[in-house]
Amino acid sequence: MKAIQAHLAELWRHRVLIGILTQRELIARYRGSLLGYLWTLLNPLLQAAVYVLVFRYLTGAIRTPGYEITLFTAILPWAWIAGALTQGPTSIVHGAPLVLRSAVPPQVLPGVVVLGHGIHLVLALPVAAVLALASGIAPSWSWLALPIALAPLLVFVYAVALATASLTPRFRDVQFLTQNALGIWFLLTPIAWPLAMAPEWLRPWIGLNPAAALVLPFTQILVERRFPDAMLLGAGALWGLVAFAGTVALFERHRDAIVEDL
Amino acid sequence: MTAPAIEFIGVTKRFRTGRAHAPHTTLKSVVVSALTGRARTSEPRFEALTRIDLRVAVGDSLGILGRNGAGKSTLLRLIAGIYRPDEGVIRVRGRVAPLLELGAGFHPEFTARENILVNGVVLGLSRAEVRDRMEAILAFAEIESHADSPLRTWSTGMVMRLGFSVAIHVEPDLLLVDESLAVGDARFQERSRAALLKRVRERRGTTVIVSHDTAAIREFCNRALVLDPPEARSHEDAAAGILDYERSLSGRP
Repeated sequence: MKAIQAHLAELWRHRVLIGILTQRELIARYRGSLLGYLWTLLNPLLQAAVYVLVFRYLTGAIRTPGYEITLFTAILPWAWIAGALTQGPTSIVHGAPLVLRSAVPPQVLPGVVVLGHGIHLVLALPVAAVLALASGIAPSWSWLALPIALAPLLVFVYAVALATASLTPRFRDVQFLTQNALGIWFLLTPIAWPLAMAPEWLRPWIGLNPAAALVLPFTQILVERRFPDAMLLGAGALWGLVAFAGTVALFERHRDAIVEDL
Repeated sequence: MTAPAIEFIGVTKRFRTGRAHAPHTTLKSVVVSALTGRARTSEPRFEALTRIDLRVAVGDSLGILGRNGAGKSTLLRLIAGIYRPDEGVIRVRGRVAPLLELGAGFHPEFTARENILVNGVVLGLSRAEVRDRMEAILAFAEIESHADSPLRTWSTGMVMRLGFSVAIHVEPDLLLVDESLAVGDARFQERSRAALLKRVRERRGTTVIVSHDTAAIREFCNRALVLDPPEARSHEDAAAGILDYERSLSGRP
């Protein structure tokens, strides 16, 4: 508990640096323009379009109404997890000069990755809202519940980024393993396929998959226009807290080894 | 007597060596060897620093001397809080600016002003403090005309000048310098030497310098620590430390 407090205090002490590094990351990604921002939205849009093409039109496997918008609103929060698993592993290794030569606490670096992708998600949500309106979904008070879906996801994504970033200095193959894991995890999570198509007995257990517990509330809020399932929210919060507490405790215990392996 | 700026009591630092530290360890290989039951031998540990005692008063300038691998950089990193000791206690007071690498965190795609902001904050300044020092930093590095062009278009010498300029303008309580005194052309070297000398002479904060260059230690430092593993000898006078260091060198083939 004390280790977690110290960990968070250290992040807080470096909040200005985290802010500047995140700003730098976002400027680099958007090239500082509105067009650049729209450009980064093309990726999830294209991804959604491909799934619609394959599952709705080419194979005819999925006929659920509103599949397009459900898919898109799930891909956006998933992209946060995917971003953490893609850029997280190399964050501390790439930032080694900052850690070894300027005494920046290592956890700042995965923190920057997480914050960058998080801001990206928040900036993309209005687009999801516009698309929802365009597909005939009226605005709803339920949309105000979005922070309840964002908070546990933030905690979980930070844990994932920190864990993979801490393993990489010792095990340089982590980033390749996470890439493989990502593809499998995506298919096992009800994003490209609606949960309603899963066998009935499975549905209550879907919260055992942390990505499902954390991503599905977004579609429930935005598309189904309701407060997310309590079971799902509970599972998501639990996943977030357990992953966070476990990862931070392990990180603090092995911190010296992580820094010395850089 | 006031509290010292740096205090080491019986500090020992060990590093892991051996297989686990090899550069090509992969998670896959570890899992495979665990599954096939190849027992992990306990890792050998190499003692980089042994029971170091050190007191540096506020305003002092300490030179650290020692052969390659004697533990100079490790000592600097312990002071900076990057490494933690395996045994002993380290107390450091005030804001530390580790100048272990000039321009740590510089990004080639960003302009001088943007890089100064990042580097200044990394070295412990607030946004406002960096803004206040911005023009002075650019002027000292003599790169005002390039302030708004990306670093990738610069020469290496210009980047190093900027790095040194940021570091010296941070005015930290404790400045740690790792053999990066000689950057830029002869004219800039003279200016950076003068700036560092001013800091040391006026006792504006504490300074620790690691260098093989005994002339630099003689010029900037009033105290010295000679690392001659497993011993570490502290000298109240830099000249005596240099003599000791040179003797320790000639004592070995």
